[in-house]
Amino acid sequence: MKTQTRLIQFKKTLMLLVFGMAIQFSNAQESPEPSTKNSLVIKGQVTDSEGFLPGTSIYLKGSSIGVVSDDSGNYTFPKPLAVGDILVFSYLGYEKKEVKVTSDTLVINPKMELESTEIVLTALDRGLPFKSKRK
Amino acid sequence: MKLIFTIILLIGLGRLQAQQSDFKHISFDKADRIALTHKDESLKNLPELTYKLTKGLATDVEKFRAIYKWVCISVSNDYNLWDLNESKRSRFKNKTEKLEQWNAKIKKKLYQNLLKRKQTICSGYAFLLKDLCELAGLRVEVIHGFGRTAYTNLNKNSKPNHSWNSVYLNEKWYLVDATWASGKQNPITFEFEFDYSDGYFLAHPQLFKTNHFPIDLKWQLIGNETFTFQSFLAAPLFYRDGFIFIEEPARLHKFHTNINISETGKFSYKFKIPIDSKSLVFQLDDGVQVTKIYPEIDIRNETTVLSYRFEHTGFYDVHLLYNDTYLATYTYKVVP
Repeated sequence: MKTQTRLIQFKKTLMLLVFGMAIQFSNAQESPEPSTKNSLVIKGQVTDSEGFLPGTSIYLKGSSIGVVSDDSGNYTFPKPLAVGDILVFSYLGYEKKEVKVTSDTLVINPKMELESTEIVLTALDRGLPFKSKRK
Repeated sequence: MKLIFTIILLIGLGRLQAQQSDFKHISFDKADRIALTHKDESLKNLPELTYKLTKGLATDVEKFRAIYKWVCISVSNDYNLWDLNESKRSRFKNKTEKLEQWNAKIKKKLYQNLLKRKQTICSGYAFLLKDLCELAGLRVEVIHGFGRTAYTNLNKNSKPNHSWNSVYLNEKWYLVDATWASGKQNPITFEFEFDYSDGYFLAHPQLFKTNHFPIDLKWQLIGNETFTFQSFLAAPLFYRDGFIFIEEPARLHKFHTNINISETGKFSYKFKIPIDSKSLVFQLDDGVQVTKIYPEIDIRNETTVLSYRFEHTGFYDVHLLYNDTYLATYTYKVVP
């Protein structure tokens, strides 16, 4: 009897786990830790100086759990977060933004800024050997 | 005596300097296989991509290898964007404001093309590599500066024209260039062709400094040695395949040398792998005809010395080839 209860409990846990993994980012590294603190579902819209920014990577710092903003820059983070978790917003060519989750965070709408200092650079390897210019 | 001392010093330095041979005990087969398996992945979801590329790899150097190799074999050089940028830059050369506007515009275009079509020019390679590596918890820097190829006419007034990366592994910084490693331009069709070359992976700083001059000199990674922009412009031209075979020039000759016809030209290198010395040839181009000559070869300890005495006066492009692959070029003016 005891074993059966255990088995049912195990099955329940397993189902929870599978379910948890399914709603997560397709390749979550760690299984979600069941905790009452993990209750904040974060969503928002990512923008830059010209409007919304689709394709921004949003991930939980120190994990591979994440999501990508949709065509209108909107996202809903797939894992409920805990106070103190840090969300990283990353888009190629833009400065990374890190936002810490507080107890009353519901929405995070980051405005991304282009990396400032960089110059576009252009040396090509043409795959041909050198040839002197002769008069 | 001074020369011997220099050579010993150079070899000594070489041992200390960060290079691929530090990881001789690690096989990159697994990392390379992973990169190849995911070759066609898009850049839509960078954290996911990084995860796929580094999952199951035990060491940082392997993780870095998988990401670097992936960038090299799946992102192509955008020659159209390169041409466009090149012409705009020369048009706005003396108009700072216009050049800045252009730079802001192309920056956006650059990343758009990279994300949509996986095409870019060197800044794109360097930033993508950094972003992916940071997602994997690796420390990588983008380095800006001057890149020297057979067809860049650099001089002291040139603006920086290239970007590459440095990666921190086992408490040392290493140099890589994903742009030049990924492929080359077809000389006939002018299209980009993927053709990965391993020479720029954790390249030897003593060789790397001859065609990469960083704006911030600390990224030369050559310790307290000084290597000025002038020395850089005067260095021999090493090709990307040169980096595969040559560990370091045992003595750094100059790109151009004036030599008396009675003198013997000498070149010394330390090769990475055992070289079949019969396959080392010089190709001499005097502007009219190209001849192939076999230099005299002397191997002492780990240093290979090639010597050749010119038979005629004139101005020569001297290419060093190994099995028909160009390794380096020098010019010689032979006077009576």
